[in-house]
Amino acid sequence: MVSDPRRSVHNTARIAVVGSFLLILAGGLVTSRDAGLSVPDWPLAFGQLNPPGWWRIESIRTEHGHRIIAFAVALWMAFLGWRVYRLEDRTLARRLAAAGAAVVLIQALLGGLRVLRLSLDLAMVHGLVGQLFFALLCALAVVTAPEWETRERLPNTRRERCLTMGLVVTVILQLALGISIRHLGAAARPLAGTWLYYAHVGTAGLVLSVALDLNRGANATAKPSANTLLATIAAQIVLGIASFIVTESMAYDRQATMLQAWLPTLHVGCGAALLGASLTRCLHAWRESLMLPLPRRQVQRGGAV
Amino acid sequence: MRWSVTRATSAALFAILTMVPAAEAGTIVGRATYRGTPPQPRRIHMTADPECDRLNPDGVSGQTVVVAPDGSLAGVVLSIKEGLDADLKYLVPATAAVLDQHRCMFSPHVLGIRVGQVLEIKNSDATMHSVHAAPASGNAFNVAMPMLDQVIKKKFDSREVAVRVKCDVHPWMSAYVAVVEHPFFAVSGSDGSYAIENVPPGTYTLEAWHEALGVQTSTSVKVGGDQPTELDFSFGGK
Repeated sequence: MVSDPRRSVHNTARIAVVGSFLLILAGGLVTSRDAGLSVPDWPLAFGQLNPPGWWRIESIRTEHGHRIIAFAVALWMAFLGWRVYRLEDRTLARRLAAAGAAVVLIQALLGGLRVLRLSLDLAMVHGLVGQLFFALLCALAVVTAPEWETRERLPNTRRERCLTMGLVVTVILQLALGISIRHLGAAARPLAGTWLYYAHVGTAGLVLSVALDLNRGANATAKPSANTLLATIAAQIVLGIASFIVTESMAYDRQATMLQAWLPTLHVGCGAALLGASLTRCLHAWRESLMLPLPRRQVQRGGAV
Repeated sequence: MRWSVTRATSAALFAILTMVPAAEAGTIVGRATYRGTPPQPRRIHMTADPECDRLNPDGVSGQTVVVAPDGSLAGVVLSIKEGLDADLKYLVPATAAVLDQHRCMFSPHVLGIRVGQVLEIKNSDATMHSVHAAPASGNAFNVAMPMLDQVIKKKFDSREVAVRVKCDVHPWMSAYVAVVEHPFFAVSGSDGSYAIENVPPGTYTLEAWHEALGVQTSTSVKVGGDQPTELDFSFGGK
């Protein structure tokens, strides 16, 4: 039985997507539990690679666990990059893999600097770059799929392409606002006089209206992905409202309850899923323009393409 | 030997520069109280760290607003705000102020120190702590304190009432360090009382600060003579 090298690269990318999604959940939990600075040094933790008893203390377990998952994802990203370099000859896949390898390094440095410089601004950038890294891996999984080039062409009008692109940009803006709200805590609450919450809710409405518009125009082939997108948005709105309710009742000098920690974390995870789904839809809409292969080179291992 | 001579000289200079002749020096005394029904103190349970939970199996009361049954309010920082001779300089105490991480709480919860005075922060628990402070003047720090009896030393270089100090390992742990540029300050005790002693005769305005109840400024009061000057502050409810 001869293994298909493209399929194996695609599977490696899919595992990276799952790993980075878990990493986003772990990072979200760090913010929910306000545990980002509970390990004050970096890259070591309390002067050691693995401080004894780290698993027993909740905040250290949360932060150090996040670092361990991040390390595993970075290693997997390096492996994925190497496999793409060896087995893929499609321009887009190679560029995305190179970008993924660069972003994972930048993301690790951002996380470290956030700890060492006690910077809330860097924490917010770290949160957003994490989402973008996840989106990048989703894109890599989409374009390394063997059926990427052969799948039935969707009826992509210019309007649809613009809508999907707008949806991705709006979701990223929405995520940036959400990340700011979570990190600023009490200072970002509606009664604190900031516009963040209102902008977050406003862009949520925009995301919903674009998704509804896409859903209305979708044919039978595109309908399932359009419905998935709508379902993700509906789940995200419910999680957002629930998160708002539980965090509003939270005193910021106490440990978060299970609900206070996990509901906003799931909201963050659902946001990532929404970004991934939007980007997938966008990539399919722009597929014809994106298929620009490098001059075909001989695949060095695993058989010819 | 040389060190002890220097210390003795410093102590003598401190005494000379900060002491006012007893016949002239005044004292400001008073009490901080809470009006109305105080908020119920929150119960803090420490299940997030088994060692802290073992030390406090029933949890502890929150220390944000500590009011005695008679309305006495603890943890108010009282300091002279206006009226001191700006040209006078006061020697910084050679002894360090101590902030202890004990039984997974900061002790004391509110502490007054001088600008430039050494603050010793100690870990008296057999668990990992950290110390994180972000003074408005800059020089924020976040230091790991994983070892029992570990001590670190810090100084603050400008007035700030008050700098919040946190342990990021244990989200319920916080303390406030009031950094004052002169020696005329006090923190109200559990009976709400305070005393600022050895105050040069004059007319002063006092500031009373509480971490949750805000800041109050007194009207001008005269200090000097045989009798202490009495000044009470009342915070809070309706």
